[in-house]
Amino acid sequence: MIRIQEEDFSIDEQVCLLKRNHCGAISFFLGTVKSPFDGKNVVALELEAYMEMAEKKLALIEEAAKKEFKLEDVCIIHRIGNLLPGDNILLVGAVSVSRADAISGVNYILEKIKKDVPIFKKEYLEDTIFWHGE
Amino acid sequence: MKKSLIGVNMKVIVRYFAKIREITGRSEEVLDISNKSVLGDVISLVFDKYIIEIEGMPLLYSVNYEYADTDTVLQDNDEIGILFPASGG
Repeated sequence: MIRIQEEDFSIDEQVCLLKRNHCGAISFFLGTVKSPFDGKNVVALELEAYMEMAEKKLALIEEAAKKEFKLEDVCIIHRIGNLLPGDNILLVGAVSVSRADAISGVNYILEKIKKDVPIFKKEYLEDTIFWHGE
Repeated sequence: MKKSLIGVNMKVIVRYFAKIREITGRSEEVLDISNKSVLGDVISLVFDKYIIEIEGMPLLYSVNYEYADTDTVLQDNDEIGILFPASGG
Protein backbone atom coordinates (compact mmCIF):
# COMPACT_ATOMS: atom_id res chain seq x y z
CA MET A 1 0.00 0.00 0.00
CA ILE A 2 1.41 3.32 -1.05
CA ARG A 3 0.11 6.77 -0.20
CA ILE A 4 1.47 10.29 -0.64
CA GLN A 5 -0.77 12.64 1.28
CA GLU A 6 -1.00 15.86 3.28
CA GLU A 7 -2.93 14.31 6.15
CA ASP A 8 -1.33 12.64 9.13
CA PHE A 9 -1.59 8.87 9.47
CA SER A 10 -2.40 6.38 12.21
CA ILE A 11 0.33 3.87 13.03
CA ASP A 12 -2.18 1.67 14.91
CA GLU A 13 -4.31 1.47 11.80
CA GLN A 14 -1.32 0.32 9.74
CA VAL A 15 -0.39 -2.30 12.35
CA CYS A 16 -3.92 -3.75 12.04
CA LEU A 17 -3.72 -3.73 8.25
CA LEU A 18 -0.33 -5.46 8.14
CA LYS A 19 -0.97 -8.18 10.74
CA ARG A 20 -1.09 -11.74 9.43
CA ASN A 21 -1.62 -14.79 11.61
CA HIS A 22 1.08 -16.78 9.83
CA CYS A 23 3.65 -13.96 10.09
CA GLY A 24 5.77 -13.42 13.17
CA ALA A 25 7.17 -9.98 12.48
CA ILE A 26 6.07 -6.47 11.60
CA SER A 27 8.78 -3.84 11.38
CA PHE A 28 8.15 -0.08 11.15
CA PHE A 29 10.16 3.04 10.52
CA LEU A 30 8.65 6.39 11.44
CA GLY A 31 10.38 9.53 10.19
CA THR A 32 9.57 12.83 11.89
CA VAL A 33 10.49 16.48 11.48
CA LYS A 34 13.56 17.19 13.59
CA SER A 35 14.73 20.38 15.22
CA PRO A 36 17.39 21.69 15.49
CA PHE A 37 18.91 21.16 12.07
CA ASP A 38 22.62 22.01 11.77
CA GLY A 39 22.38 23.63 15.18
CA LYS A 40 19.54 25.97 14.24
CA ASN A 41 15.90 25.80 15.29
CA VAL A 42 13.53 24.55 12.62
CA VAL A 43 10.45 26.70 12.18
CA ALA A 44 8.81 24.51 9.54
CA LEU A 45 9.44 21.96 6.83
CA GLU A 46 7.80 22.01 3.41
CA LEU A 47 7.61 18.81 1.36
CA GLU A 48 6.85 18.75 -2.34
CA ALA A 49 6.46 15.68 -4.58
CA TYR A 50 6.50 15.00 -8.29
CA MET A 51 3.42 12.95 -7.58
CA GLU A 52 3.11 10.76 -10.67
CA MET A 53 6.80 9.88 -10.73
CA ALA A 54 7.01 9.40 -6.96
CA GLU A 55 4.05 6.99 -7.00
CA LYS A 56 5.61 5.06 -9.86
CA LYS A 57 8.97 4.82 -8.09
CA LEU A 58 7.35 3.78 -4.81
CA ALA A 59 5.39 1.03 -6.57
CA LEU A 60 8.61 -0.34 -8.06
CA ILE A 61 10.35 -0.17 -4.68
CA GLU A 62 7.43 -1.97 -3.01
CA GLU A 63 7.45 -4.71 -5.62
CA ALA A 64 11.23 -5.20 -5.43
CA ALA A 65 11.22 -5.27 -1.61
CA LYS A 66 8.42 -7.84 -1.48
CA LYS A 67 10.37 -10.14 -3.78
CA GLU A 68 13.82 -9.69 -2.29
CA PHE A 69 12.83 -10.00 1.38
CA LYS A 70 9.81 -12.30 1.19
CA LEU A 71 7.52 -9.63 2.58
CA GLU A 72 3.85 -10.50 2.79
CA ASP A 73 2.82 -6.88 2.62
CA VAL A 74 4.23 -3.38 2.83
CA CYS A 75 2.93 0.06 3.73
CA ILE A 76 4.60 3.28 2.64
CA ILE A 77 2.97 6.57 3.59
CA HIS A 78 4.83 9.81 2.81
CA ARG A 79 3.42 13.17 3.79
CA ILE A 80 3.75 16.35 1.75
CA GLY A 81 2.82 19.95 2.52
CA ASN A 82 3.77 22.12 5.47
CA LEU A 83 4.93 20.35 8.62
CA LEU A 84 6.20 21.39 12.02
CA PRO A 85 8.90 19.91 14.27
CA GLY A 86 7.70 16.63 15.70
CA ASP A 87 5.20 16.00 12.91
CA ASN A 88 5.18 12.64 11.17
CA ILE A 89 6.75 12.56 7.70
CA LEU A 90 7.13 8.97 6.64
CA LEU A 91 5.90 5.57 7.72
CA VAL A 92 7.37 2.41 6.24
CA GLY A 93 6.08 -0.93 7.48
CA ALA A 94 6.74 -4.50 6.40
CA VAL A 95 5.31 -7.82 7.53
CA SER A 96 7.08 -11.12 7.10
CA VAL A 97 7.32 -14.62 8.54
CA SER A 98 10.74 -13.78 9.97
CA ARG A 99 11.96 -10.64 11.73
CA ALA A 100 15.19 -10.49 9.70
CA ASP A 101 13.25 -10.08 6.46
CA ALA A 102 10.86 -7.54 7.97
CA ILE A 103 13.69 -5.37 9.34
CA SER A 104 15.89 -5.68 6.24
CA GLY A 105 12.92 -4.98 4.01
CA VAL A 106 12.14 -1.72 5.79
CA ASN A 107 15.79 -0.63 5.58
CA TYR A 108 15.88 -1.43 1.87
CA ILE A 109 12.72 0.58 1.21
CA LEU A 110 14.03 3.56 3.19
CA GLU A 111 17.34 3.70 1.34
CA LYS A 112 15.57 3.49 -2.01
CA ILE A 113 13.13 6.25 -1.05
CA LYS A 114 15.97 8.56 -0.07
CA LYS A 115 17.80 7.90 -3.35
CA ASP A 116 15.11 7.51 -6.02
CA VAL A 117 11.78 9.04 -5.08
CA PRO A 118 11.31 12.65 -6.23
CA ILE A 119 10.17 14.24 -3.01
CA PHE A 120 11.85 17.51 -2.06
CA LYS A 121 12.29 19.24 1.29
CA LYS A 122 12.44 22.96 1.98
CA GLU A 123 13.80 23.79 5.39
CA TYR A 124 12.66 26.93 7.23
CA LEU A 125 15.26 27.62 9.91
CA GLU A 126 15.21 30.53 12.34
CA ASP A 127 17.50 32.63 10.11
CA THR A 128 17.53 30.98 6.70
CA ILE A 129 15.44 29.05 4.18
CA PHE A 130 16.78 26.49 1.72
CA TRP A 131 15.91 23.45 -0.35
CA HIS A 132 17.77 20.30 0.60
CA GLY A 133 20.50 19.66 -1.96
CA GLU A 134 20.80 23.38 -2.71
CA MET B 1 25.07 24.55 -30.55
CA LYS B 2 21.69 25.40 -29.07
CA LYS B 3 18.65 24.65 -31.20
CA SER B 4 16.36 27.50 -32.17
CA LEU B 5 12.60 27.31 -32.47
CA ILE B 6 12.91 27.33 -36.28
CA GLY B 7 11.47 24.10 -37.62
CA VAL B 8 9.30 23.56 -34.56
CA ASN B 9 7.33 20.35 -34.88
CA MET B 10 7.07 18.77 -31.44
CA LYS B 11 5.60 19.74 -28.12
CA VAL B 12 6.87 18.69 -24.74
CA ILE B 13 5.51 19.38 -21.26
CA VAL B 14 8.12 20.67 -18.82
CA ARG B 15 7.38 20.41 -15.10
CA TYR B 16 9.27 22.39 -12.51
CA PHE B 17 9.89 21.46 -8.89
CA ALA B 18 11.43 22.88 -5.73
CA LYS B 19 13.70 25.88 -6.32
CA ILE B 20 13.29 25.72 -10.11
CA ARG B 21 9.50 26.06 -9.71
CA GLU B 22 10.07 29.12 -7.55
CA ILE B 23 12.49 30.70 -10.03
CA THR B 24 10.27 30.11 -13.08
CA GLY B 25 7.13 31.09 -11.16
CA ARG B 26 5.20 28.17 -12.66
CA SER B 27 4.71 24.45 -12.14
CA GLU B 28 4.67 23.48 -15.78
CA GLU B 29 4.52 24.71 -19.35
CA VAL B 30 4.33 23.36 -22.88
CA LEU B 31 7.33 24.10 -25.10
CA ASP B 32 7.60 23.84 -28.87
CA ILE B 33 10.82 22.18 -29.94
CA SER B 34 12.52 20.89 -33.06
CA ASN B 35 12.28 17.32 -34.18
CA LYS B 36 15.15 15.16 -32.91
CA SER B 37 15.79 17.46 -29.96
CA VAL B 38 17.48 15.94 -26.97
CA LEU B 39 16.74 16.66 -23.32
CA GLY B 40 19.77 18.96 -23.09
CA ASP B 41 18.28 21.22 -25.79
CA VAL B 42 15.13 21.73 -23.72
CA ILE B 43 17.13 22.35 -20.57
CA SER B 44 19.12 25.02 -22.44
CA LEU B 45 15.91 26.63 -23.70
CA VAL B 46 14.47 26.76 -20.19
CA PHE B 47 17.62 28.09 -18.57
CA ASP B 48 18.02 30.77 -21.26
CA LYS B 49 14.35 31.75 -21.00
CA TYR B 50 14.41 32.22 -17.24
CA ILE B 51 18.06 33.32 -17.03
CA ILE B 52 18.90 30.54 -14.60
CA GLU B 53 22.54 29.90 -13.78
CA ILE B 54 22.87 26.18 -14.20
CA GLU B 55 26.30 26.12 -12.56
CA GLY B 56 26.11 24.99 -8.97
CA MET B 57 22.51 23.78 -9.32
CA PRO B 58 22.22 20.17 -8.16
CA LEU B 59 19.73 19.28 -10.87
CA LEU B 60 18.33 16.00 -12.07
CA TYR B 61 16.07 15.44 -15.05
CA SER B 62 13.34 12.99 -15.94
CA VAL B 63 11.51 12.01 -19.10
CA ASN B 64 8.14 10.31 -18.70
CA TYR B 65 8.77 9.66 -14.98
CA GLU B 66 12.22 8.08 -15.39
CA TYR B 67 15.50 9.80 -14.55
CA ALA B 68 17.20 10.72 -17.80
CA ASP B 69 20.50 12.05 -19.15
CA THR B 70 20.73 15.21 -21.21
CA ASP B 71 21.45 13.23 -24.38
CA THR B 72 18.05 11.47 -24.23
CA VAL B 73 16.25 11.88 -27.56
CA LEU B 74 12.77 13.33 -27.06
CA GLN B 75 9.46 12.33 -28.61
CA ASP B 76 6.35 14.40 -29.22
CA ASN B 77 4.34 14.93 -25.99
CA ASP B 78 7.10 13.73 -23.68
CA GLU B 79 6.87 14.97 -20.10
CA ILE B 80 10.11 16.39 -18.75
CA GLY B 81 10.81 17.01 -15.09
CA ILE B 82 13.45 19.40 -13.80
CA LEU B 83 14.19 18.16 -10.31
CA PHE B 84 16.29 18.62 -7.26
CA PRO B 85 17.89 15.53 -5.69
CA ALA B 86 15.47 13.33 -3.77
CA SER B 87 15.36 14.30 -0.10
CA GLY B 88 12.30 12.52 1.20
CA GLY B 89 12.15 10.30 4.23
